Amino acid sequence: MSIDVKNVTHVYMPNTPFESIAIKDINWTVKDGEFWGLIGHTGSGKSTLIQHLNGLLKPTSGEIFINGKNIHSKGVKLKSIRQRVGLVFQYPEHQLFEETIEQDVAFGPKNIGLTEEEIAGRVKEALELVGLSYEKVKDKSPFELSGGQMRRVAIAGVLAMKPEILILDEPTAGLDPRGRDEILEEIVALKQKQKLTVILVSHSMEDVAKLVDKLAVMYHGRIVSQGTPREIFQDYAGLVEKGLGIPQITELMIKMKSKGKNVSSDILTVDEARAEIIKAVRRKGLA
Amino acid sequence: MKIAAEITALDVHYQYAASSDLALKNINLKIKPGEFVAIIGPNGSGKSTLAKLFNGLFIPTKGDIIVDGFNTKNKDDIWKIRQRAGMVFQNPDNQIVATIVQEDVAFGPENLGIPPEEIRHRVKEALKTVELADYADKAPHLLSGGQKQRVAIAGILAMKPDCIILDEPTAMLDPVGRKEVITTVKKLNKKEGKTVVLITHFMEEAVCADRVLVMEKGKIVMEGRPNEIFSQVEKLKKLGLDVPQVTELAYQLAKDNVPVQRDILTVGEMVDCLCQLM
Ligand SMILES: Nc1ncnc2c1ncn2[C@@H]1O[C@H](COP(=O)(O)OP(=O)(O)OP(=O)(O)O)[C@@H](O)[C@H]1O
Ligand SMILES: Nc1ncnc2c1ncn2[C@@H]1O[C@H](COP(=O)(O)OP(=O)(O)OP(=O)(O)O)[C@@H](O)[C@H]1O
Ligand SMILES: [Mg+2]
Ligand SMILES: [Mg+2]
Repeated sequence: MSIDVKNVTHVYMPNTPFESIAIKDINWTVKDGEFWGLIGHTGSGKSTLIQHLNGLLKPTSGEIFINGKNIHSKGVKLKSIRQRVGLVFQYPEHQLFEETIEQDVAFGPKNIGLTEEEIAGRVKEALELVGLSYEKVKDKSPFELSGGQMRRVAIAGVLAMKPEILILDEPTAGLDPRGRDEILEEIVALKQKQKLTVILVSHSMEDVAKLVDKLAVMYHGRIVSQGTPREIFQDYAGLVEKGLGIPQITELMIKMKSKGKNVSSDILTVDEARAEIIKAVRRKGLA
Repeated sequence: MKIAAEITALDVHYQYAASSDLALKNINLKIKPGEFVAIIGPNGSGKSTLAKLFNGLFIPTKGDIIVDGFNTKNKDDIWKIRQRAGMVFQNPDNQIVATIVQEDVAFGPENLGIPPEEIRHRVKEALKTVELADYADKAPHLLSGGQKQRVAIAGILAMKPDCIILDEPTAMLDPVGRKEVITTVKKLNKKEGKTVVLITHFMEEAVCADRVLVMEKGKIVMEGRPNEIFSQVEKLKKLGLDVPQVTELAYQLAKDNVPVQRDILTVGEMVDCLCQLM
């Protein structure tokens, strides 16, 4: 599924003393099957923007198209949009409200009228996907979980809907390193298996560098640049000015290069850095 | 200047009412005045539970927590303890109490009975420290995730506690905001001598501490200086944890027989080390 955001502006609490423009004149195209990262300083408008993509927020001006269809035009059911465009919220607690974890994950599938059997299957599958054992957690209350465990349940709730577009608002915030890697690997696997279109909102430059095909950078309500991670992470100073950064490993290579060392600074992962340094050290004949 | 707070845990166990398992077992530790301790560990390992015991929000099921000589079991001393050990919670939403940012930040000092003039001064200072001076009159629940997190930190700073306990304070922050919070925390520790307990899933942040505690399944399973802990790459990975990217690189290069130090923790250290090799 593709998404087209055309000249979208969103004003919170218009015509009140609290009026504030959260996003301004956004133009953005996400093609079917693409994997996008959305980065930007806190308050830059990322969560506001993505809540437009499943119709949770309505543009103050501008339009949102899913597969070429304006989602706010007559005859489009927002319920069906929400089923196909799955959104995992930034704060999982906001998404959890049932008495048990099983009921919580089953909530979405129930709403779209699946059979009991299908629902049970999906709940089980989704919980296992996020690394929770169905048998162990199904009867627990979501409020008796640690922060990271709650987040996994929230992600499972969205996966159980089998959306075609998956939007994750900082899905790994609060997850331990293994949990983070597992969930991200699962997302990549799901994306390939089910041909999902994925948008990942993240403050982790390391994660987006490793995973996404394309990055959009937000700054004070606008998308100020778009490109591949390699293109975007070239501009270290510019990103820092915008509240962002680059992966630690990229920073290392840039610093080595600025010391006059013969290495490439176009490096996004530890593996790339390792190969590059071994090359340089071998040239010196040390290893 | 006041002496920074000391925290002692004596054979502490904790069990949630709703649970049959122990969330914490056999915790014995001493956090020295002015020390900067980082706590890392997988999800559900008991970090937040331990932090909530430190400031008397929870009382040990068995054992004792002593903050500056006050046992958290004594209800009468609870504000004395909270004044000494201020806590920034994992989810800022749970911490916001007022409808205007500056009132929210003033809430703690008000409870301590600080005179209004002094409160106003502290609130201003604290908001400046977290760079939210322009947001003093805004509604906290309408702020972005990262902004809320900083309001919560300001609220604690305004109480001027001797010990600051931060439970994943940077989880929702952008890279620059994260650095700012850590710089602020380091400054409070080094310049003002405050005791700091930092719970984090960012290994690059734990590297800044004097001492790192590693938790697993309700127990402290490793303990030592950051270079001692993070050079044990395989052991950490087995626990579901990680090391900073430069530490990982040093580990990989050593496997390739490149003669690098194994306990590299920062970009600066790695640059120095590599510059000697090429
Ligand atoms: N419900 C709301 N009412 C009024 N203003 C809001 C509301 N939600 C967000 N804002 C404001 O809109 C701006 C954009 O917020 P948004 O949550 O989209 O940012 P973000 O990029 O997701 O930030 P973060 O990385 O901190 O989550 C911020 O200035 C914020 O204070
Ligand atoms: N209110 C509660 N009732 C019952 N059990 C709880 C409650 N809160 C936490 N637990 C359980 O206690 C254990 C420790 O939880 P705690 O929140 O201390 O973990 P944590 O190390 O802070 O994890 P995270 O990194 O996810 O924040 C977990 O197994 C969790 O499920
Ligand atoms: Mg957000
Ligand atoms: Mg926790």
